[in-house]
Amino acid sequence: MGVKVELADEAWDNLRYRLTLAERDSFVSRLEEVRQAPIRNSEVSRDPEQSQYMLRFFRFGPGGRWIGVFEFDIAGNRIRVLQCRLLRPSRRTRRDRAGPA
Amino acid sequence: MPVVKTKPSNKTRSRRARVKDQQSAGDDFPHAYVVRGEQPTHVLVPVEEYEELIKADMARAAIAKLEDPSTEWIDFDDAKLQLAADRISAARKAAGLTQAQLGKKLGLPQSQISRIERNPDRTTVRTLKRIARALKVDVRALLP
Repeated sequence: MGVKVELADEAWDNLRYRLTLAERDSFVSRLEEVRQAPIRNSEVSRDPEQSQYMLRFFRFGPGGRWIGVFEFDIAGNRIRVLQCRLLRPSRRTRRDRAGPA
Repeated sequence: MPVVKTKPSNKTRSRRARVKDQQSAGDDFPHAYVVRGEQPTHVLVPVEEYEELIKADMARAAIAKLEDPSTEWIDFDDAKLQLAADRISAARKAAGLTQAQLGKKLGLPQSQISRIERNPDRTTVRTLKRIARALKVDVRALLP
């Protein structure tokens, strides 16, 4: 599939300097899946600004703790990853350690 | 506005904090919230709702990024190569070796180790296996 994929500078910095090796691997493999089928392998974003862009999300990392947002340009056959962000805490809470109630 | 004359210690403040749930707050404020003194300081929202807030925030930032002409774009295929290169240099550093020392172990000049770390896709599997052996790591640890 000929979808071109690009990363914004900030997303790249996050990927390279903040993520663990396991999280990086997960990012790369998930993004490859998204590249194969951008719509099927991602979730839609509600665009608060009603912009012209088609923004979508994909989760990655152990337990889907990280989330990446990308713009899919169907006409240009291009994906642009704009941001990666930790969505859930990486440490287990005291309650988690105690196990399910 | 009440004037606070003395600043309580963190311990005291922590004891004073309490959580009000939605029943005590009433239907007009449908979330539990943390109160210190008379002031609510934090709102406890369901995870799904929190994630929606984060996504909306990310979408706004994403649009700003798209419209910022100074944004630089990195090709994903180049990025993958760079991440692979990072693995080799990270494994070498973890083994406490310089490029020259690793080169000596493998019978290669330092310049070639540098080239391998910069451009691992042009490295043969055989060389990668030799590097892995010299660094005492599984060869899979050097591959993305």
